[in-house]
Amino acid sequence: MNGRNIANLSPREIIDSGINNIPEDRQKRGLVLDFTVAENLILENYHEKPFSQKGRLNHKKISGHAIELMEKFDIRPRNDKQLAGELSGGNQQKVILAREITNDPEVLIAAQPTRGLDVGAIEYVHRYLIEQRNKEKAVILVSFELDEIMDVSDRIAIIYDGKIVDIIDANDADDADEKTIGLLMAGGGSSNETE
Amino acid sequence: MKQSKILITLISIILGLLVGGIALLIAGFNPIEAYGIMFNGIFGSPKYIAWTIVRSTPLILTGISVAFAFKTGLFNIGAEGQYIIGSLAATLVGYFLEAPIIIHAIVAILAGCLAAAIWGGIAGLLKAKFGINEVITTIMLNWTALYFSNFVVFWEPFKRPNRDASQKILDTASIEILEKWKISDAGKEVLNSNEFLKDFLNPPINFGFIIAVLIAILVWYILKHTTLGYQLKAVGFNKDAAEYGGIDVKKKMIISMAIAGAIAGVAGATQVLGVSKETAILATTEGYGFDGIAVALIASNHPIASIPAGLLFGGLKYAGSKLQPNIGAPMEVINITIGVIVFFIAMPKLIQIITSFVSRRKRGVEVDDTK
Repeated sequence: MNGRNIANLSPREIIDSGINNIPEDRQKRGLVLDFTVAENLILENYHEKPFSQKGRLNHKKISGHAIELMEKFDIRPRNDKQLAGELSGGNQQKVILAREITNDPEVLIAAQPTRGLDVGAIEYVHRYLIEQRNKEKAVILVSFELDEIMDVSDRIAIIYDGKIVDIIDANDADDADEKTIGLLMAGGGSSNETE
Repeated sequence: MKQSKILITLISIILGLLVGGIALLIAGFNPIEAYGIMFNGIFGSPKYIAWTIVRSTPLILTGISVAFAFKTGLFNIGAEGQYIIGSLAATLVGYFLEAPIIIHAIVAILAGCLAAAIWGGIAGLLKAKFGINEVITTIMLNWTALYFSNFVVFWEPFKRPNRDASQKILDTASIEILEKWKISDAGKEVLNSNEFLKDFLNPPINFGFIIAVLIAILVWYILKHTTLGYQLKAVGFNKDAAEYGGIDVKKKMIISMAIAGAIAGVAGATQVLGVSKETAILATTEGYGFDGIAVALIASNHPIASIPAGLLFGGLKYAGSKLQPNIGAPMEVINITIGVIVFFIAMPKLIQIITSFVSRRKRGVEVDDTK
Protein backbone atom coordinates (compact mmCIF):
# COMPACT_ATOMS: atom_id res chain seq x y z
CA MET A 1 0.00 0.00 0.00
CA ASN A 2 1.70 3.18 -1.18
CA GLY A 3 4.98 1.35 -1.00
CA ARG A 4 4.38 -0.06 2.46
CA ASN A 5 3.84 -3.70 3.22
CA ILE A 6 0.64 -3.96 5.18
CA ALA A 7 0.30 -7.72 5.39
CA ASN A 8 -0.33 -9.03 8.92
CA LEU A 9 -0.99 -5.66 10.48
CA SER A 10 -3.84 -5.16 12.91
CA PRO A 11 -7.26 -4.09 11.59
CA ARG A 12 -6.70 -0.64 13.05
CA GLU A 13 -3.41 -0.16 11.18
CA ILE A 14 -4.87 -1.42 7.94
CA ILE A 15 -7.79 0.99 8.20
CA ASP A 16 -5.41 3.83 8.96
CA SER A 17 -3.32 2.97 5.92
CA GLY A 18 -6.26 3.83 3.70
CA ILE A 19 -7.99 0.55 2.97
CA ASN A 20 -11.65 0.23 3.67
CA ASN A 21 -13.72 -2.83 3.29
CA ILE A 22 -17.35 -3.65 2.76
CA PRO A 23 -17.50 -7.00 4.50
CA GLU A 24 -19.11 -10.02 3.02
CA ASP A 25 -21.44 -10.61 5.93
CA ARG A 26 -22.95 -7.27 6.87
CA GLN A 27 -24.66 -8.49 10.01
CA LYS A 28 -21.71 -10.40 11.35
CA ARG A 29 -18.85 -8.01 10.65
CA GLY A 30 -20.27 -4.90 9.12
CA LEU A 31 -22.64 -3.68 11.79
CA VAL A 32 -23.21 -3.79 15.49
CA LEU A 33 -26.90 -4.56 15.30
CA ASP A 34 -27.61 -3.40 18.85
CA PHE A 35 -25.99 -0.04 18.22
CA THR A 36 -27.92 2.83 16.74
CA VAL A 37 -27.32 3.88 13.15
CA ALA A 38 -25.38 6.90 14.38
CA GLU A 39 -23.10 4.72 16.48
CA ASN A 40 -22.54 2.34 13.60
CA LEU A 41 -21.58 5.15 11.29
CA ILE A 42 -18.57 5.98 13.44
CA LEU A 43 -17.39 2.41 14.05
CA GLU A 44 -14.05 3.14 12.43
CA ASN A 45 -13.50 6.71 13.53
CA TYR A 46 -15.13 6.97 16.94
CA HIS A 47 -11.73 7.86 18.42
CA GLU A 48 -11.10 10.77 16.08
CA LYS A 49 -12.19 14.37 16.17
CA PRO A 50 -14.88 15.62 16.01
CA PHE A 51 -16.65 12.54 17.31
CA SER A 52 -14.64 12.33 20.46
CA GLN A 53 -12.11 14.35 22.32
CA LYS A 54 -9.84 13.06 25.06
CA GLY A 55 -11.86 9.89 25.28
CA ARG A 56 -15.22 11.59 25.57
CA LEU A 57 -17.83 11.06 22.91
CA ASN A 58 -19.49 14.08 21.38
CA HIS A 59 -23.04 12.87 20.87
CA LYS A 60 -24.12 16.01 19.11
CA LYS A 61 -21.46 15.70 16.42
CA ILE A 62 -22.08 11.97 16.05
CA SER A 63 -25.75 12.55 15.59
CA GLY A 64 -25.20 15.41 13.15
CA HIS A 65 -22.81 13.29 11.13
CA ALA A 66 -25.40 10.52 11.02
CA ILE A 67 -28.22 12.80 9.90
CA GLU A 68 -26.05 14.20 7.14
CA LEU A 69 -25.08 10.77 5.86
CA MET A 70 -28.60 9.43 6.13
CA GLU A 71 -29.76 12.25 3.93
CA LYS A 72 -26.95 11.76 1.43
CA PHE A 73 -27.25 8.01 1.18
CA ASP A 74 -31.00 7.91 1.56
CA ILE A 75 -31.01 5.63 4.58
CA ARG A 76 -34.53 5.04 5.81
CA PRO A 77 -36.09 5.63 8.21
CA ARG A 78 -34.35 8.94 8.87
CA ASN A 79 -33.80 8.29 12.52
CA ASP A 80 -30.25 8.20 13.73
CA LYS A 81 -31.38 6.65 17.03
CA GLN A 82 -32.84 3.62 15.28
CA LEU A 83 -31.06 0.37 16.06
CA ALA A 84 -29.16 -0.92 13.05
CA GLY A 85 -30.73 -4.34 13.54
CA GLU A 86 -34.16 -2.86 12.88
CA LEU A 87 -33.28 -1.61 9.40
CA SER A 88 -33.97 -3.52 6.20
CA GLY A 89 -31.08 -5.29 4.51
CA GLY A 90 -30.74 -2.64 1.84
CA ASN A 91 -30.63 0.15 4.37
CA GLN A 92 -28.14 -1.75 6.49
CA GLN A 93 -25.92 -2.04 3.46
CA LYS A 94 -26.30 1.67 2.83
CA VAL A 95 -25.12 2.37 6.36
CA ILE A 96 -21.98 0.36 5.72
CA LEU A 97 -21.49 1.94 2.32
CA ALA A 98 -21.94 5.40 3.79
CA ARG A 99 -19.41 4.69 6.50
CA GLU A 100 -16.79 3.17 4.23
CA ILE A 101 -17.06 5.72 1.44
CA THR A 102 -17.04 8.79 3.67
CA ASN A 103 -13.68 7.65 4.95
CA ASP A 104 -12.56 8.27 1.36
CA PRO A 105 -10.25 5.27 1.23
CA GLU A 106 -7.47 4.81 -1.29
CA VAL A 107 -8.59 1.24 -1.74
CA LEU A 108 -12.12 0.03 -1.17
CA ILE A 109 -12.62 -3.70 -1.02
CA ALA A 110 -16.26 -4.57 -1.59
CA ALA A 111 -17.02 -8.19 -0.90
CA GLN A 112 -20.41 -9.14 -2.27
CA PRO A 113 -21.82 -5.71 -1.58
CA THR A 114 -25.14 -6.46 -3.22
CA ARG A 115 -25.87 -9.85 -1.76
CA GLY A 116 -29.51 -10.22 -0.86
CA LEU A 117 -30.50 -6.72 -1.93
CA ASP A 118 -33.38 -5.70 -4.15
CA VAL A 119 -32.84 -4.25 -7.60
CA GLY A 120 -33.09 -0.61 -6.57
CA ALA A 121 -30.56 -1.03 -3.80
CA ILE A 122 -28.19 -2.93 -6.08
CA GLU A 123 -28.31 -0.08 -8.55
CA TYR A 124 -27.56 2.27 -5.75
CA VAL A 125 -24.55 0.35 -4.49
CA HIS A 126 -23.14 0.11 -8.01
CA ARG A 127 -23.52 3.80 -8.55
CA TYR A 128 -21.47 4.57 -5.48
CA LEU A 129 -18.77 2.06 -6.37
CA ILE A 130 -18.39 3.64 -9.79
CA GLU A 131 -18.44 7.12 -8.34
CA GLN A 132 -15.60 6.07 -6.09
CA ARG A 133 -13.70 4.85 -9.14
CA ASN A 134 -14.32 8.13 -10.92
CA LYS A 135 -12.63 9.85 -8.03
CA GLU A 136 -9.57 7.84 -9.05
CA LYS A 137 -9.65 5.59 -6.03
CA ALA A 138 -9.17 1.87 -6.35
CA VAL A 139 -12.19 -0.34 -5.87
CA ILE A 140 -11.87 -4.10 -5.64
CA LEU A 141 -15.19 -5.81 -6.14
CA VAL A 142 -15.49 -9.44 -5.13
CA SER A 143 -18.66 -11.13 -6.20
CA PHE A 144 -20.32 -14.34 -7.30
CA GLU A 145 -22.55 -12.45 -9.68
CA LEU A 146 -20.99 -12.55 -13.12
CA ASP A 147 -23.33 -9.93 -14.53
CA GLU A 148 -22.50 -7.58 -11.74
CA ILE A 149 -18.79 -7.97 -12.29
CA MET A 150 -19.04 -7.50 -16.00
CA ASP A 151 -21.25 -4.45 -15.57
CA VAL A 152 -19.26 -2.62 -12.99
CA SER A 153 -15.64 -3.58 -13.41
CA ASP A 154 -12.90 -2.18 -15.59
CA ARG A 155 -10.68 -5.16 -15.23
CA ILE A 156 -11.63 -8.63 -14.12
CA ALA A 157 -9.30 -11.00 -12.34
CA ILE A 158 -10.33 -14.61 -12.26
CA ILE A 159 -9.21 -16.75 -9.39
CA TYR A 160 -9.04 -20.48 -9.66
CA ASP A 161 -7.60 -22.78 -7.04
CA GLY A 162 -6.29 -19.91 -4.97
CA LYS A 163 -4.41 -18.20 -7.78
CA ILE A 164 -5.27 -15.41 -10.14
CA VAL A 165 -5.35 -17.22 -13.46
CA ASP A 166 -6.08 -14.31 -15.71
CA ILE A 167 -6.82 -10.61 -15.73
CA ILE A 168 -8.90 -9.41 -18.59
CA ASP A 169 -10.06 -6.05 -19.71
CA ALA A 170 -13.79 -5.70 -19.29
CA ASN A 171 -14.07 -3.45 -22.32
CA ASP A 172 -12.37 -5.95 -24.54
CA ALA A 173 -15.33 -7.41 -26.36
CA ASP A 174 -13.62 -10.62 -27.32
CA ASP A 175 -12.41 -11.71 -23.92
CA ALA A 176 -14.97 -10.35 -21.56
CA ASP A 177 -17.91 -12.59 -22.21
CA GLU A 178 -19.45 -15.12 -19.94
CA LYS A 179 -18.01 -18.00 -21.85
CA THR A 180 -14.37 -17.06 -21.48
CA ILE A 181 -14.76 -16.10 -17.86
CA GLY A 182 -16.74 -19.24 -17.14
CA LEU A 183 -14.04 -21.34 -18.71
CA LEU A 184 -11.34 -19.64 -16.67
CA MET A 185 -13.39 -20.05 -13.50
CA ALA A 186 -13.69 -23.74 -14.10
CA GLY A 187 -9.94 -24.04 -14.38
CA GLY A 188 -9.78 -24.21 -18.13
CA GLY A 189 -7.54 -21.19 -18.42
CA SER A 190 -5.07 -21.10 -21.24
CA SER A 191 -1.92 -19.25 -20.34
CA ASN A 192 -1.35 -19.19 -16.59
CA GLU A 193 -3.03 -22.40 -15.65
CA THR A 194 0.07 -24.34 -14.83
CA GLU A 195 2.49 -22.44 -12.80
CA MET B 1 -39.15 1.53 25.40
CA LYS B 2 -37.53 2.61 28.61
CA GLN B 3 -40.87 3.12 30.25
CA SER B 4 -42.07 -0.32 29.30
CA LYS B 5 -38.94 -1.79 30.86
CA ILE B 6 -39.67 -0.05 34.13
CA LEU B 7 -43.28 -1.18 33.92
CA ILE B 8 -42.23 -4.77 33.35
CA THR B 9 -39.94 -4.57 36.36
CA LEU B 10 -42.68 -3.16 38.57
CA ILE B 11 -45.17 -5.79 37.46
CA SER B 12 -42.57 -8.48 38.05
CA ILE B 13 -42.02 -7.21 41.58
CA ILE B 14 -45.76 -7.29 42.28
CA LEU B 15 -46.04 -10.78 40.82
CA GLY B 16 -43.06 -11.86 42.89
CA LEU B 17 -44.69 -10.57 46.06
CA LEU B 18 -47.94 -12.33 45.08
CA VAL B 19 -46.21 -15.67 44.58
CA GLY B 20 -44.31 -15.14 47.82
CA GLY B 21 -47.67 -14.51 49.49
CA ILE B 22 -49.08 -17.73 48.08
CA ALA B 23 -46.06 -19.60 49.39
CA LEU B 24 -46.70 -18.08 52.82
CA LEU B 25 -50.35 -19.05 52.59
CA ILE B 26 -49.48 -22.65 51.77
CA ALA B 27 -47.07 -22.72 54.68
CA GLY B 28 -49.96 -21.63 56.92
CA PHE B 29 -49.14 -17.98 57.52
CA ASN B 30 -51.18 -14.90 56.84
CA PRO B 31 -49.37 -13.19 53.96
CA ILE B 32 -50.87 -9.77 54.71
CA GLU B 33 -49.62 -9.97 58.26
CA ALA B 34 -46.21 -11.15 57.05
CA TYR B 35 -45.87 -8.35 54.51
CA GLY B 36 -47.06 -5.91 57.15
CA ILE B 37 -44.22 -7.01 59.39
CA MET B 38 -41.77 -6.69 56.54
CA PHE B 39 -42.98 -3.23 55.60
CA ASN B 40 -42.70 -2.20 59.20
CA GLY B 41 -39.30 -3.83 59.30
CA ILE B 42 -38.00 -1.47 56.66
CA PHE B 43 -39.89 1.77 57.21
CA GLY B 44 -40.97 1.34 60.82
CA SER B 45 -38.14 3.39 62.25
CA PRO B 46 -35.19 5.46 61.03
CA LYS B 47 -32.96 2.75 62.43
CA TYR B 48 -34.48 0.17 60.11
CA ILE B 49 -34.12 2.45 57.11
CA ALA B 50 -30.48 2.98 57.96
CA TRP B 51 -29.94 -0.75 58.29
CA THR B 52 -31.59 -1.33 54.92
CA ILE B 53 -29.20 1.13 53.31
CA VAL B 54 -26.20 -0.44 55.03
CA ARG B 55 -27.23 -3.92 53.99
CA SER B 56 -27.97 -2.84 50.43
CA THR B 57 -24.70 -1.06 49.74
CA PRO B 58 -22.58 -4.12 48.85
CA LEU B 59 -25.46 -5.51 46.78
CA ILE B 60 -25.70 -2.31 44.77
CA LEU B 61 -21.97 -2.43 44.05
CA THR B 62 -21.80 -6.09 43.10
CA GLY B 63 -24.94 -5.48 41.03
CA ILE B 64 -23.15 -2.69 39.13
CA SER B 65 -20.16 -4.97 38.69
CA VAL B 66 -22.23 -7.73 37.09
CA ALA B 67 -24.26 -5.24 35.05
CA PHE B 68 -21.14 -3.57 33.70
CA ALA B 69 -19.58 -6.87 32.65
CA PHE B 70 -22.83 -7.91 31.07
CA LYS B 71 -23.05 -4.71 29.05
CA THR B 72 -19.67 -5.56 27.59
CA GLY B 73 -20.64 -9.12 26.73
CA LEU B 74 -19.10 -10.88 29.72
CA PHE B 75 -20.85 -12.82 32.43
CA ASN B 76 -19.16 -12.00 35.71
CA ILE B 77 -20.06 -14.79 38.12
CA GLY B 78 -16.90 -13.84 39.99
CA ALA B 79 -18.17 -10.76 41.83
CA GLU B 80 -18.18 -12.97 44.91
CA GLY B 81 -14.47 -13.72 44.71
CA GLN B 82 -13.62 -10.16 43.74
CA TYR B 83 -15.64 -9.00 46.75
CA ILE B 84 -13.62 -11.28 49.04
CA ILE B 85 -10.29 -10.17 47.60
CA GLY B 86 -11.38 -6.54 47.86
CA SER B 87 -12.33 -6.89 51.50
CA LEU B 88 -9.14 -8.79 52.31
CA ALA B 89 -6.91 -6.16 50.71
CA ALA B 90 -8.81 -3.38 52.45
CA THR B 91 -8.46 -5.12 55.82
CA LEU B 92 -4.74 -5.67 55.32
CA VAL B 93 -4.17 -2.02 54.44
CA GLY B 94 -6.56 -0.92 57.16
CA TYR B 95 -4.63 -2.81 59.83
CA PHE B 96 -0.97 -2.64 58.78
CA LEU B 97 -0.74 0.79 57.23
CA GLU B 98 -0.59 3.82 59.45
CA ALA B 99 -1.88 6.96 57.83
CA PRO B 100 -3.94 9.99 58.71
CA ILE B 101 -7.71 9.72 58.76
CA ILE B 102 -9.50 10.02 55.37
CA ILE B 103 -6.27 9.28 53.47
CA HIS B 104 -6.04 5.91 55.19
CA ALA B 105 -9.59 5.03 54.17
CA ILE B 106 -9.04 6.15 50.58
CA VAL B 107 -5.84 4.13 50.31
CA ALA B 108 -7.60 1.08 51.78
CA ILE B 109 -10.47 1.36 49.32
CA LEU B 110 -8.08 1.81 46.41
CA ALA B 111 -6.13 -1.22 47.57
CA GLY B 112 -9.29 -3.32 47.64
CA CYS B 113 -10.24 -1.92 44.26
CA LEU B 114 -6.86 -2.69 42.71
CA ALA B 115 -6.55 -6.18 44.16
CA ALA B 116 -10.03 -7.10 42.96
CA ALA B 117 -9.32 -5.56 39.56
CA ILE B 118 -6.34 -7.86 39.20
CA TRP B 119 -8.49 -10.77 40.38
CA GLY B 120 -11.13 -9.98 37.78
CA GLY B 121 -8.46 -9.26 35.19
CA ILE B 122 -7.13 -12.81 35.56
CA ALA B 123 -10.42 -14.16 34.25
CA GLY B 124 -10.35 -11.60 31.44
CA LEU B 125 -6.78 -12.53 30.56
CA LEU B 126 -7.57 -16.24 30.47
CA LYS B 127 -10.50 -15.55 28.20
CA ALA B 128 -8.55 -13.26 25.89
CA LYS B 129 -5.41 -15.37 25.64
CA PHE B 130 -6.72 -18.91 25.79
CA GLY B 131 -10.41 -18.54 25.09
CA ILE B 132 -11.45 -20.03 28.42
CA ASN B 133 -15.02 -19.10 29.22
CA GLU B 134 -15.17 -16.46 31.95
CA VAL B 135 -18.11 -18.20 33.64
CA ILE B 136 -15.92 -21.17 34.51
CA THR B 137 -12.82 -19.21 35.50
CA THR B 138 -14.72 -16.73 37.65
CA ILE B 139 -16.54 -19.50 39.53
CA MET B 140 -13.24 -21.24 40.20
CA LEU B 141 -11.63 -17.96 41.22
CA ASN B 142 -14.45 -17.46 43.74
CA TRP B 143 -13.31 -20.51 45.68
CA THR B 144 -9.68 -19.64 45.22
CA ALA B 145 -10.41 -16.22 46.68
CA LEU B 146 -12.31 -17.69 49.61
CA TYR B 147 -9.58 -20.09 50.65
CA PHE B 148 -6.84 -17.60 49.94
CA SER B 149 -8.58 -15.12 52.22
CA ASN B 150 -8.93 -17.74 54.96
CA PHE B 151 -5.27 -18.61 54.54
CA VAL B 152 -4.16 -15.01 54.93
CA VAL B 153 -6.38 -14.44 57.95
CA PHE B 154 -4.71 -17.39 59.69
CA TRP B 155 -1.37 -15.65 59.28
CA GLU B 156 -0.01 -15.05 62.80
CA PRO B 157 0.50 -11.25 62.90
CA PHE B 158 -2.82 -10.68 61.20
CA LYS B 159 -5.10 -13.07 63.06
CA ARG B 160 -6.86 -11.87 66.17
CA PRO B 161 -6.09 -14.28 69.04
CA ASN B 162 -8.95 -16.61 69.98
CA ARG B 163 -11.17 -15.39 67.17
CA ASP B 164 -11.83 -16.78 63.73
CA ALA B 165 -11.20 -13.41 62.23
CA SER B 166 -8.48 -10.95 61.38
CA GLN B 167 -7.43 -8.00 63.48
CA LYS B 168 -9.79 -5.05 63.43
CA ILE B 169 -8.82 -2.24 61.10
CA LEU B 170 -7.36 0.89 62.66
CA ASP B 171 -9.81 3.65 63.47
CA THR B 172 -8.20 5.96 60.94
CA ALA B 173 -9.34 3.68 58.13
CA SER B 174 -12.99 3.59 59.15
CA ILE B 175 -15.57 5.13 56.85
CA GLU B 176 -18.37 4.98 59.36
CA ILE B 177 -20.12 8.32 59.64
CA LEU B 178 -19.57 10.09 63.00
CA GLU B 179 -18.34 6.88 64.57
CA LYS B 180 -16.31 8.54 67.31
CA TRP B 181 -18.74 11.35 67.88
CA LYS B 182 -21.60 8.89 68.43
CA ILE B 183 -20.02 7.43 71.55
CA SER B 184 -18.46 10.64 72.83
CA ASP B 185 -20.22 12.48 75.65
CA ALA B 186 -21.09 15.47 73.50
CA GLY B 187 -22.47 13.23 70.81
CA LYS B 188 -24.54 11.22 73.24
CA GLU B 189 -26.02 14.39 74.61
CA VAL B 190 -27.12 15.63 71.19
CA LEU B 191 -28.44 12.23 70.18
CA ASN B 192 -30.43 11.83 73.37
CA SER B 193 -32.31 15.00 72.58
CA ASN B 194 -32.91 14.05 68.95
CA GLU B 195 -34.76 10.77 68.69
CA PHE B 196 -34.64 10.55 64.90
CA LEU B 197 -30.90 11.07 64.56
CA LYS B 198 -30.19 8.74 67.43
CA ASP B 199 -32.12 5.99 65.76
CA PHE B 200 -30.75 6.68 62.31
CA LEU B 201 -27.13 6.68 63.44
CA ASN B 202 -27.50 3.57 65.57
CA PRO B 203 -26.52 1.17 62.76
CA PRO B 204 -23.03 1.43 61.26
CA ILE B 205 -24.17 3.89 58.65
CA ASN B 206 -21.18 4.73 56.45
CA PHE B 207 -19.94 6.43 53.32
CA GLY B 208 -20.28 3.21 51.35
CA PHE B 209 -23.70 4.11 50.02
CA ILE B 210 -22.49 7.46 48.76
CA ILE B 211 -19.53 5.74 47.12
CA ALA B 212 -21.91 3.26 45.50
CA VAL B 213 -24.05 6.05 44.06
CA LEU B 214 -20.97 7.83 42.73
CA ILE B 215 -19.71 4.63 41.13
CA ALA B 216 -23.11 4.01 39.54
CA ILE B 217 -23.00 7.45 37.95
CA LEU B 218 -19.38 7.00 36.90
CA VAL B 219 -20.05 3.64 35.27
CA TRP B 220 -23.09 5.02 33.51
CA TYR B 221 -21.01 7.92 32.24
CA ILE B 222 -18.22 5.65 31.02
CA LEU B 223 -20.63 3.42 29.14
CA LYS B 224 -22.60 6.25 27.63
CA HIS B 225 -20.20 9.09 27.01
CA THR B 226 -16.68 7.78 26.49
CA THR B 227 -14.86 6.07 23.68
CA LEU B 228 -13.86 3.38 26.16
CA GLY B 229 -17.52 2.65 26.79
CA TYR B 230 -18.20 2.70 23.07
CA GLN B 231 -15.45 0.17 22.47
CA LEU B 232 -16.51 -2.05 25.36
CA LYS B 233 -20.14 -2.08 24.24
CA ALA B 234 -19.17 -2.77 20.63
CA VAL B 235 -17.14 -5.76 21.81
CA GLY B 236 -20.08 -6.87 23.92
CA PHE B 237 -22.67 -6.62 21.20
CA ASN B 238 -20.67 -7.88 18.25
CA LYS B 239 -17.10 -9.00 18.65
CA ASP B 240 -16.53 -9.50 14.94
CA ALA B 241 -17.74 -6.06 13.94
CA ALA B 242 -15.75 -4.47 16.74
CA GLU B 243 -12.60 -6.18 15.55
CA TYR B 244 -13.37 -5.13 12.01
CA GLY B 245 -13.79 -1.55 13.22
CA GLY B 246 -10.26 -1.63 14.56
CA ILE B 247 -11.00 -2.30 18.23
CA ASP B 248 -8.57 -4.53 20.08
CA VAL B 249 -11.12 -7.06 21.32
CA LYS B 250 -8.81 -9.03 23.58
CA LYS B 251 -7.46 -6.03 25.40
CA LYS B 252 -10.97 -4.72 25.92
CA MET B 253 -12.06 -8.03 27.47
CA ILE B 254 -9.30 -7.84 30.05
CA ILE B 255 -10.08 -4.19 30.82
CA SER B 256 -13.76 -4.95 31.15
CA MET B 257 -13.24 -7.79 33.63
CA ALA B 258 -10.74 -5.69 35.57
CA ILE B 259 -13.24 -2.84 35.91
CA ALA B 260 -16.01 -5.24 36.93
CA GLY B 261 -13.63 -6.72 39.49
CA ALA B 262 -12.68 -3.28 40.79
CA ILE B 263 -16.33 -2.38 41.41
CA ALA B 264 -16.96 -5.64 43.29
CA GLY B 265 -13.75 -4.96 45.20
CA VAL B 266 -15.08 -1.60 46.35
CA ALA B 267 -18.13 -3.45 47.68
CA GLY B 268 -15.87 -5.63 49.82
CA ALA B 269 -13.72 -2.69 50.92
CA THR B 270 -16.63 -0.49 52.01
CA GLN B 271 -18.18 -3.39 53.88
CA VAL B 272 -14.96 -3.96 55.82
CA LEU B 273 -14.18 -0.30 56.46
CA GLY B 274 -17.74 0.70 57.25
CA VAL B 275 -19.44 -2.28 58.85
CA SER B 276 -17.52 -5.40 59.80
CA LYS B 277 -14.07 -3.79 60.39
CA GLU B 278 -12.46 -7.19 59.93
CA THR B 279 -12.21 -10.16 57.59
CA ALA B 280 -13.70 -13.26 59.10
CA ILE B 281 -12.72 -16.82 58.31
CA LEU B 282 -15.52 -18.09 56.15
CA ALA B 283 -16.70 -21.65 55.64
CA THR B 284 -18.58 -20.61 52.57
CA THR B 285 -19.13 -17.48 50.52
CA GLU B 286 -21.39 -14.74 51.84
CA GLY B 287 -23.35 -14.53 48.63
CA TYR B 288 -22.97 -10.83 47.89
CA GLY B 289 -21.60 -11.61 44.47
CA PHE B 290 -24.36 -14.02 43.56
CA ASP B 291 -27.02 -11.67 44.85
CA GLY B 292 -25.35 -9.07 42.67
CA ILE B 293 -26.32 -11.12 39.62
CA ALA B 294 -29.97 -10.95 40.71
CA VAL B 295 -29.66 -7.22 41.35
CA ALA B 296 -28.18 -6.68 37.88
CA LEU B 297 -31.03 -8.68 36.34
CA ILE B 298 -33.66 -6.68 38.20
CA ALA B 299 -31.90 -3.50 37.05
CA SER B 300 -31.82 -4.72 33.41
CA ASN B 301 -28.06 -4.25 33.60
CA HIS B 302 -28.36 -0.51 34.00
CA PRO B 303 -25.77 0.83 36.43
CA ILE B 304 -28.00 3.53 37.90
CA ALA B 305 -31.01 1.23 38.11
CA SER B 306 -28.79 -1.02 40.22
CA ILE B 307 -29.28 1.44 43.09
CA PRO B 308 -33.05 0.93 43.52
CA ALA B 309 -32.68 -2.73 42.60
CA GLY B 310 -30.02 -3.18 45.27
CA LEU B 311 -32.16 -1.33 47.81
CA LEU B 312 -35.12 -3.54 46.95
CA PHE B 313 -33.08 -6.67 47.27
CA GLY B 314 -31.34 -5.54 50.43
CA GLY B 315 -34.64 -4.35 51.88
CA LEU B 316 -36.38 -7.64 51.18
CA LYS B 317 -33.53 -9.59 52.72
CA TYR B 318 -33.33 -7.39 55.77
CA ALA B 319 -37.09 -7.36 56.28
CA GLY B 320 -37.29 -11.08 55.62
CA SER B 321 -35.02 -11.72 58.56
CA LYS B 322 -37.76 -10.28 60.78
CA LEU B 323 -40.35 -12.84 59.72
CA GLN B 324 -38.84 -15.63 61.76
CA PRO B 325 -38.81 -13.96 65.18
CA ASN B 326 -42.19 -12.31 64.73
CA ILE B 327 -44.51 -14.93 63.27
CA GLY B 328 -42.16 -17.83 62.80
CA ALA B 329 -42.42 -17.77 59.03
CA PRO B 330 -39.28 -18.94 57.29
CA MET B 331 -37.18 -16.23 55.69
CA GLU B 332 -36.73 -18.47 52.67
CA VAL B 333 -40.04 -17.02 51.49
CA ILE B 334 -38.03 -13.95 50.57
CA ASN B 335 -35.75 -16.02 48.40
CA ILE B 336 -38.82 -17.39 46.62
CA THR B 337 -40.09 -13.86 46.11
CA ILE B 338 -36.77 -12.62 44.74
CA GLY B 339 -36.46 -15.68 42.53
CA VAL B 340 -39.91 -15.08 41.06
CA ILE B 341 -39.16 -11.41 40.44
CA VAL B 342 -36.01 -12.29 38.49
CA PHE B 343 -37.91 -15.04 36.71
CA PHE B 344 -40.60 -12.69 35.46
CA ILE B 345 -38.13 -9.97 34.49
CA ALA B 346 -36.32 -12.54 32.38
CA MET B 347 -39.59 -13.13 30.54
CA PRO B 348 -40.60 -9.69 29.32
CA LYS B 349 -42.78 -11.20 26.61
CA LEU B 350 -45.06 -12.81 29.17
CA ILE B 351 -45.61 -9.51 30.95
CA GLN B 352 -46.28 -7.81 27.64
CA ILE B 353 -48.93 -10.39 26.88
CA ILE B 354 -50.51 -9.87 30.29
CA THR B 355 -50.49 -6.08 30.02
CA SER B 356 -51.82 -6.06 26.48
CA PHE B 357 -54.56 -8.48 27.56
CA VAL B 358 -55.53 -6.23 30.43
CA SER B 359 -55.48 -3.04 28.37
CA ARG B 360 -57.44 -4.69 25.56
CA ARG B 361 -60.20 -5.62 27.93
CA LYS B 362 -60.25 -2.10 29.22
CA ARG B 363 -60.46 -0.48 25.82
CA GLY B 364 -62.69 -3.04 24.23
CA VAL B 365 -60.99 -2.80 20.88
CA GLU B 366 -57.45 -3.49 20.05
CA VAL B 367 -55.61 -0.54 18.61
CA ASP B 368 -52.76 -1.38 16.32
CA ASP B 369 -50.04 0.94 17.47
CA THR B 370 -47.20 -0.64 15.57
CA LYS B 371 -47.26 2.07 12.97
